[in-house]
Amino acid sequence: MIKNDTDLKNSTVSLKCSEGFKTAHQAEKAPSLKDLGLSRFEYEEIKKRLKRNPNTLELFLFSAMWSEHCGYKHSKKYLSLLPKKNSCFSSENAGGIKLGRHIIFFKTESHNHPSAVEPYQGAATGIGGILRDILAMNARPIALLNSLKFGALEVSENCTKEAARRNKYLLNGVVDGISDYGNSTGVPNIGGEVGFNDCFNLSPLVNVLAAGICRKNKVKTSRVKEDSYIVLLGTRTGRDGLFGAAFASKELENNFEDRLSVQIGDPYVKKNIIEATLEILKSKNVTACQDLGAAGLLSSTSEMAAKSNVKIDLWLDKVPLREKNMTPYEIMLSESQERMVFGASKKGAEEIKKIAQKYELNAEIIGKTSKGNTYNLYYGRNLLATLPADILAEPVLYDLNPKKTRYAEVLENKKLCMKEYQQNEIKELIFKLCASPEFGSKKYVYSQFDSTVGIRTLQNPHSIGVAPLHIFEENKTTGFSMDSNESACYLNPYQGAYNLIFESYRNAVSSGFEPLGITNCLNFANPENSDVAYQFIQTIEGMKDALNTLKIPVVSGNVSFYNEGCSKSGEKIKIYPTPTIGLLSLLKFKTPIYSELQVNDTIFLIGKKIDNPKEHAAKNVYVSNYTGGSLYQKIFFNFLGGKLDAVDFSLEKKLKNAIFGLKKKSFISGAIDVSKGGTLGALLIMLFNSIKNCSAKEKIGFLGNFSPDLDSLFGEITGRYLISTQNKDEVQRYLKKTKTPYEILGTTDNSGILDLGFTKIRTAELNEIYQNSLSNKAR
Amino acid sequence: MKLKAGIIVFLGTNCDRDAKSALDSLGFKTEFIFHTEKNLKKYDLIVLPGGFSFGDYIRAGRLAKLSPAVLAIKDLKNKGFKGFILGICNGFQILTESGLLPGALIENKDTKFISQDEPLIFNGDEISLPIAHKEGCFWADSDTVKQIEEKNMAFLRYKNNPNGSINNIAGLYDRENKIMGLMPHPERAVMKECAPNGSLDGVKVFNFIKEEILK
Repeated sequence: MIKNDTDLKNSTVSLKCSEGFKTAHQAEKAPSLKDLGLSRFEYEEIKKRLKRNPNTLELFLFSAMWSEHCGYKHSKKYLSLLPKKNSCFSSENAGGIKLGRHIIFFKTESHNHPSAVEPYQGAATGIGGILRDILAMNARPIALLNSLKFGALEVSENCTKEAARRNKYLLNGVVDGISDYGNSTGVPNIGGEVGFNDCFNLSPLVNVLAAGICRKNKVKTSRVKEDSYIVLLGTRTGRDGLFGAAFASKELENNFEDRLSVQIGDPYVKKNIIEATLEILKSKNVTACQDLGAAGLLSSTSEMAAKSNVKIDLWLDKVPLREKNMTPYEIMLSESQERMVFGASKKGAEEIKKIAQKYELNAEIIGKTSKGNTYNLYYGRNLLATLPADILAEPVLYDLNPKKTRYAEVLENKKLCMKEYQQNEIKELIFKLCASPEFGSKKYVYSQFDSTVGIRTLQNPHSIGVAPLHIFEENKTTGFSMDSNESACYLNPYQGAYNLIFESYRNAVSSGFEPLGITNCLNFANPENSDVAYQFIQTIEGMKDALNTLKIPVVSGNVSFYNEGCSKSGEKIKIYPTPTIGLLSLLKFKTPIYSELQVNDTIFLIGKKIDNPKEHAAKNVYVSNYTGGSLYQKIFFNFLGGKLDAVDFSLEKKLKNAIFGLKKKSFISGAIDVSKGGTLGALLIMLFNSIKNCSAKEKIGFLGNFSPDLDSLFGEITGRYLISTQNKDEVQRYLKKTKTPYEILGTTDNSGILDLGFTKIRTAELNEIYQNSLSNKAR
Repeated sequence: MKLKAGIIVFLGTNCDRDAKSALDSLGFKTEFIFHTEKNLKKYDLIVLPGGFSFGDYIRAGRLAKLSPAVLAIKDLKNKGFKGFILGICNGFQILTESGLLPGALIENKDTKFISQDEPLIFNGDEISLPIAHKEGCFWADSDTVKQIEEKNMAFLRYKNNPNGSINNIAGLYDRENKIMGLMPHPERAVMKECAPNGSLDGVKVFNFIKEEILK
């Protein structure tokens, strides 16, 4: 009824793609090593290992497989430092954590480079790619999350009018791409984060997380048996996304031609691929599965051969093509979306074809495995390439060359000097905080994503620390969250990454969830640069130490380097080191703890106490001591500097015990961890979450006594939570008994007024600004 | 005896499994019907679930209306078939496209996809159900609207009209022919383990459908 092989919606884009590859054809005749992204050293190494000269096609294959994107050649050594204990399948397409008789698979992927040049398709195919990774394990995808980072939406000294307009275009393009693609696949998009920083002006970050579920004994991997057939399922192979892997392994040069390297997705076909794959993998005659992502057919099948230690013969003339006159390397390296490859017996291959027909997909036997370990490419009877699969799969690995840069020291010793603020000035700052898109509600973005399809979602995104998802198969509720903090990681990559893990941990704890495992997406600039190398290694170290302390494994991950570019004025802009953490957690109680308040709640601040948050520097001038990297410093003063607050692990444990203990006794009615926006920020979010958009019957208000200084209001001190309760005395007794540090911030009422002691604001007025801050600036 | 419900699965449908779970939990005997199936007489309830049937290519519901299953439904209804037809979201779009319900569903007024819990007026009561659509703005010419109101077909209306629908219409029910279509998702507010924001109001809608089937 409908043809799968042409993408009706995006025909203009694909046309541009095919036109652009004239140059690529020419390149095939005489590729220079530079064009291929291979160093002289790597070329010599290839010759040494092969004991002969590679032919042109083979050189192209090495160029892709030994790229950063496929080979992780600069990061592999360091990634192996991260703890893996209690994770499963962490060396496969996606890793997971055991939950009863099932495994919850989850993984993040970045699609930064494609999204920078073509936001809609870039983000859409990012979703497509990560879903395939989950699917390849025979897991049904059950959730999506995302972490999106852009340059500023408002004009400032660091952001020109043109840049702000472009950032807006990127934001809306990415959101549209995720919305159109993700919603169509029927996988709920349950949460995540959106952030803004000038360092993302040229290199936005699009990190996506997908999770899936599979019975333990039904998991399939890419390990294929001898004498199996290789079956390619999905769309026909075209020239789109050619060189995608190489493209993601370099700095962007603001080149329109780069747009030609962006893949084009079709969510309708993807939905059919999901259903068809899950139906196919039910068969015992189909033993292996692999998705086609970066470096397409090449990376999927050569990895299959290397992992399974079998010989694979591929017959390129059998690959269904979308375009005429495609060369062998184009067929091998095409990143046409919506394709999967299977290893199956003869009977299995027939079953695959039958199921493909039902879903109106192509399925073709394109190769066969046998004893051995070579990877052979044939076109008809011609043998075009023959390489030992392990040589192709194992690139030269590099040590990074880190050097502690001076900037970090300079910034850490920088101090923010503030005057004594008048009460009405602070009131204005509170409005300013709520109006900033970094702090304000992200509803503009999340309401465009279907969060409830699949009927596992407990709560719409963002009124709780982690997004709760019910696992009917085990009658348990899991939680997912995504976090990053580029400013903190820039100031001190080690401490920033360490704090980030604990920030994720606190998100889970504040909602009543036990952290189980993480996936990470490590976004950095060019690692061949020594200060970026330093940032990367320090980030890994910080993450490793925090995870070992908490005994949480990394189950899967992704590295994205070369996130930097040149502005029109020739200035090089590198992103701050931005590790993004996706955390899986498990609800320990019948219901989660929401970040919401009721009327007549008492609100406690529990956690770290700071005696003198600020220091007198001169007459009427104060210096903040503990709150480096806090959001308020950026929003109010455009300042980045100072020391990050360090984590106190014994306190963190105590706080978790207190929250879980109080929840068990049903004394706790709401909780939130203190992070961006500090203590007051946390209180505001709880208040705003409590103003239900459905019924405005309750006019929630707050009465308390805050000290009118910026650090105690907005400073980001680690190890702090706000908890709310209707049982004030019991909570107080419990906290005293367990020696948990606390103070009472105030109580809620139905006055509709936020009364901080030194100033009064109408909650509804502030809420209006908070709810619309992003949508006003993004439209 | 359990009522028998068939859930049509088009290529691109994505709320089929949700509809099945919800109906199973409400005591229906359910099964999936692939869109190529024409023999639909045995069902008390036929559900056209949400999703993006055939990728919503050309426009939402435009291709699904040509599928054997939908043609069979039209044929059955012409012959006086008593079974209840329920179209949810994309299913509602298919019903209007195929002329089984009047009017059309066009792009939301601000052109964006909307996913949120939506307060609604259901047969006079306020309820809350999740909505998730990009083409959910109900539209019809003035004569059709007049007929809809005269026949009292608009059983479900938005309280805050998020998508610009004419007369706040969120759902239509043709009582005579037992054909119902609605944009909100009642099947997403049925399971007690994960009621979005605590609402189980989907049960009210399905109970109403049950009563109508048994009438």
